[in-house]
Amino acid sequence: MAGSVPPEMSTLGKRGDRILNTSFLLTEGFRKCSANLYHAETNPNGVINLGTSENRLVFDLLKEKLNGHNVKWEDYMFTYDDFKGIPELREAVAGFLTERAKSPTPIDPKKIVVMNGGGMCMEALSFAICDPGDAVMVASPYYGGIQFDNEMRPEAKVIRVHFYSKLEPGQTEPFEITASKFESVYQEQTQKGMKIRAVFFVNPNNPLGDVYPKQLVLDMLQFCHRHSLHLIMNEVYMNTIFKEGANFQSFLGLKPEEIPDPQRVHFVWAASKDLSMSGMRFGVIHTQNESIIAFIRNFTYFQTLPTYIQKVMACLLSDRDWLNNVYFPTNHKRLREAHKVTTDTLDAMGVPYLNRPSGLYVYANFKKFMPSLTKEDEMALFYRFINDGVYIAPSLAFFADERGWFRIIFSRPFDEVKIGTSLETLLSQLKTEISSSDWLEKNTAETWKTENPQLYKECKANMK
Amino acid sequence: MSSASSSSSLSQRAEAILSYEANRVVPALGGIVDQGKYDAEKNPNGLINMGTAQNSLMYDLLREKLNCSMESPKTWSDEMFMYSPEEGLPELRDAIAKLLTVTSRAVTPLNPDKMIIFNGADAGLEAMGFVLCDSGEAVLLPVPFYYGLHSNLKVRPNVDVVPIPLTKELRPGETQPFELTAERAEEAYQKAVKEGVTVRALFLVNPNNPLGDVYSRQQVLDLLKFAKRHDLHVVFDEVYMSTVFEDGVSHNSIFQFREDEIPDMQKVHFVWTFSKDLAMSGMRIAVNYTWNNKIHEALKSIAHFHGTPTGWQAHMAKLLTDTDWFVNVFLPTSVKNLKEAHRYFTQGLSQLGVPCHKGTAGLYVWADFSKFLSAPTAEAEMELNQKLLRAGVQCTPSVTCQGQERGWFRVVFAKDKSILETALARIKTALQSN
Repeated sequence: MAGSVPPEMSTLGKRGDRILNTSFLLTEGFRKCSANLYHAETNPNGVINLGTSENRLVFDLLKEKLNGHNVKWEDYMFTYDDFKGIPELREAVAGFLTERAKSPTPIDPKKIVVMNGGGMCMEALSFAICDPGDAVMVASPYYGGIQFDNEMRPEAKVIRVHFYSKLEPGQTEPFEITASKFESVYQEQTQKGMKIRAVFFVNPNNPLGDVYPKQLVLDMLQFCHRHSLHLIMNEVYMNTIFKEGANFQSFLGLKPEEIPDPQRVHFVWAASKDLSMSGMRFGVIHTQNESIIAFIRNFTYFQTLPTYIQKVMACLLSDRDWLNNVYFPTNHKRLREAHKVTTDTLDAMGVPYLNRPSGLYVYANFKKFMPSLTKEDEMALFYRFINDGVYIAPSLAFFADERGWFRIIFSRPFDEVKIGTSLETLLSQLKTEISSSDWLEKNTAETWKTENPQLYKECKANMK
Repeated sequence: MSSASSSSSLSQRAEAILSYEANRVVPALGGIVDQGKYDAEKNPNGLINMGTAQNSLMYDLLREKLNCSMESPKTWSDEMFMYSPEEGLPELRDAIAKLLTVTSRAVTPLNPDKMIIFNGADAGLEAMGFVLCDSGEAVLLPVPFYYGLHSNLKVRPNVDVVPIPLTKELRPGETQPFELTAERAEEAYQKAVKEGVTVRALFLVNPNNPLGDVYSRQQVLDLLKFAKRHDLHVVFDEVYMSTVFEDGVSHNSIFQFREDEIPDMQKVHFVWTFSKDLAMSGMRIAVNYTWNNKIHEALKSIAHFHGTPTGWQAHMAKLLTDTDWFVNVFLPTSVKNLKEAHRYFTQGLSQLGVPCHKGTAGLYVWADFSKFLSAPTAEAEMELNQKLLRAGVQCTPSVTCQGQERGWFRVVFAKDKSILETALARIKTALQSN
């Protein structure tokens, strides 16, 4: 009978089932960690989280600042308000970005939408640009959240443009992004019938820590313009460049004449990384495209921040004296120190890694601890690390095509989590074991699968 | 034609929503009256907003409480800067579970683990749309309804609303105007099926918006039976649970029903928010509650996109632990204030020749302005709406709420008496104008 519900209807329906079965490796790691979190006193055998990209080095500065704020409760904070973000906040964001990105002209607060997180901004743009089944392109390895943001509700496909540590024509550095690779993947995929609508570009890069110069930004703009694609420039790590002299070009720092298609470029930033407040759920879209803003306004209502928090953030972002002279310098200094401890340890253990000037992490190569370079072996090592008390995210979480790499977060306070020590302990343990003649035989994925059937089932989903 | 479409190339769904919004029958704000929000001192010629359902009667109490609790001890701590679990902080879920157990008069205490925090009830309702329905499927909703539900379900989930029309005129067996019966639900359902629509759920707003009705126990049971007959989910939107201002009337929350009374607990879900009961719409805290583990898991994935700041959740959890204050001070005061405002405003409307539906809860009345229409048409209703706007009062016309009768308006009364007085004077002006 037309329109009636089929007798075998699942409680959820196809979409509900799909949502249920979409998992996200970084979330899995986060959840496993949260269930048994390390604490020096109360849970010394718990899992140390070096997998979730959070900067925990500057909470003292933030607490002092925010506790000193004394934002009083006023009636308007109890009510529904401007769903793009209160004007005071958008002005503060505009001023902040104008300065930090070195924008040639003041950024217009009316072109800014505030949402409850960077990923939410990405999802909103995906809804605006893609219909279900359309595709976006991203350079891999990439932050796995981009997959989730596009696939889950917008139902856009993600086409991976893979980059490798081994240099290919046009590259001078491992994993270097080139517009020419994008071009060839674009041609290949469109010939297969894919309807590509946008490129998601992350600068500075997560998980690599690379910082991209003007030429590449211009190349990507040209590539997108050539094929009428939208370009989403995600610069959430824009202010987490801790090494001097890095050659970074913010999209907002370009001159208008350098942007071929201003209606098709959209900028995303968040407080989560640069301001070390992932819990604040604060993300920002800047775009010249009024239609996209108008569309997104239909649901920013569902993704606004509490009015009180908006006021707090407005105060914080306006205090550029503190940001430029206290917060950022101190933050970068601590990041440099933590980065050094981590890289020194990796050097001492003979683990190769990418030495980069930005981010909260180091992308390191653990292939000599793996019997072979398969997905299963990488997952086995991932769970092995967790078992041994450390969560670090494997390359699979970044949809990379090259196995054996793991992203290690180093932005953890030294006295709480002795990164150097915990990494060193972990790696020396592994090193000892691996030098025993049958370790590689004993620790194959097969063995691991047999010993951990439930876990294997769970992680099969993450091996797509 | 959308002029931006050729140069900006949005997705088809974005274009569709933009043109839907452009053509939607929603009271126009700008163009007629653009004098800003009313403020007795700073902007006496501003527009009085009686269209947005907010309770403005409790801010002094809330301000006092919050300024107190947030100043000492020092409020920001490390955990507040970090990512928190998708389902929301455990202490917040605990606190809400405790409060709702009391205010819903639940037969068994609510389980915080069945709860997921969203940053707004509309987000929670949208999530239900995503999870329960495939794109293009539908839910049943009695109308007149809260017009936001249409957007929530349509914009991203692409779920349609199948209306269950309620009418002023009683049918045989009905006891009051706009009564929601299982018979009417059945009729609407069968009509949808004949048209080839796949209906997945029944959404019930109880207490109702915009009618202000509270469903009786028997009504809830009948509707649950109806839903079971057709294997539908039932979503109980109880955001106005604690705004029952009429003496002798009690709200029958789904939590008051025993498990053996509910035909299929796996298909029953609940939504609530701070925005109405607690008068704190700016807080962005709402909950979805479900007994269905699969749905719980799916909702968690969506909640990922609807997080409220961690620190915020912690502050709100602390605020809510004073259950005693909420149950014995805040809510009784709120109800008393609502009752007074309701009485004053409905009397005032009555004196103007505008009767109201006898609602017993909510922040609004469903008012009958039909005798002031030049004709019983949508155009005439919009004409009256414009008159009201020109006079400086914004209400929500029946057309927007998909009401069957012309000339009815939802008018929010949860405001200070002085504002209501001014509003009534303006409404008088509008009704007397040509």
